[in-house]
Amino acid sequence: MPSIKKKPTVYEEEQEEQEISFVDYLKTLTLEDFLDYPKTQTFLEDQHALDFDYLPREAIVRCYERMKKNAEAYFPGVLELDYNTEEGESLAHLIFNNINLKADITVFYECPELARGIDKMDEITYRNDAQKQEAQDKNIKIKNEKKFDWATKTYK
Amino acid sequence: MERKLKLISMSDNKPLDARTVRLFKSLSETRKKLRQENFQEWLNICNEDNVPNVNFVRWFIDDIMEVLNHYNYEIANEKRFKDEIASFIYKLSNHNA
Repeated sequence: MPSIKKKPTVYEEEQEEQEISFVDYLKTLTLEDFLDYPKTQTFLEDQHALDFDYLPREAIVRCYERMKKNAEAYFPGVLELDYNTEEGESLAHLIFNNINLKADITVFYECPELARGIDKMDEITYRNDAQKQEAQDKNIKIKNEKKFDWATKTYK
Repeated sequence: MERKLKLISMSDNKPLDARTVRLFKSLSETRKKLRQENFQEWLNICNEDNVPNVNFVRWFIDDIMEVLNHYNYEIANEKRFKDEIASFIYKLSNHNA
């Protein structure tokens, strides 16, 4: 199992560098950390959709069909335009868009390969930010170098 | 007196003048208000047993909530959720029954 360095702390210089396993590192992360990393985010969202499709979707469709029957019996006109009782899926879709993401991050402790690369995320983010900053500085420099020539009335 | 109807040309990319913009906004608000009034009216319509449609909407929402609680799902925004369910039922209902 490859080991990685622990996140630096303010007492970094005083303390000796500790090395922890990748799984232990994953255990220090929160759900937000996993949602910030594209690979784990996609996995969690897909899993959430699959879990919803597995049982709740069918239960919602059944619930809708039951309510449709009740409406037909006791509330004339209500849900009447759904002639073939086929809007249960639409209701499930509406509900799916209104629920919070339900995610189990322990899956990454059991199968760390799913989160491989998350430890390098901080480094990559830092590098990208530095590159962006550098590009911005360059643009500022270019802008500053331009001077207005009053003779030709153009920027040079 | 004969009056000619002047159509607003929408083909060119010229922005609409302030009066026309106000007119469209006002029309849109009136339609929205009318829809809301019709919806409220529909909620208060009662069946033969004198039970209003709003009760059916409440039972429907309660049943859905029960299913979601059973599977440990949380609603992100409860008010918005209830509004959307009520609109869903309203759209699928015959308002002239």
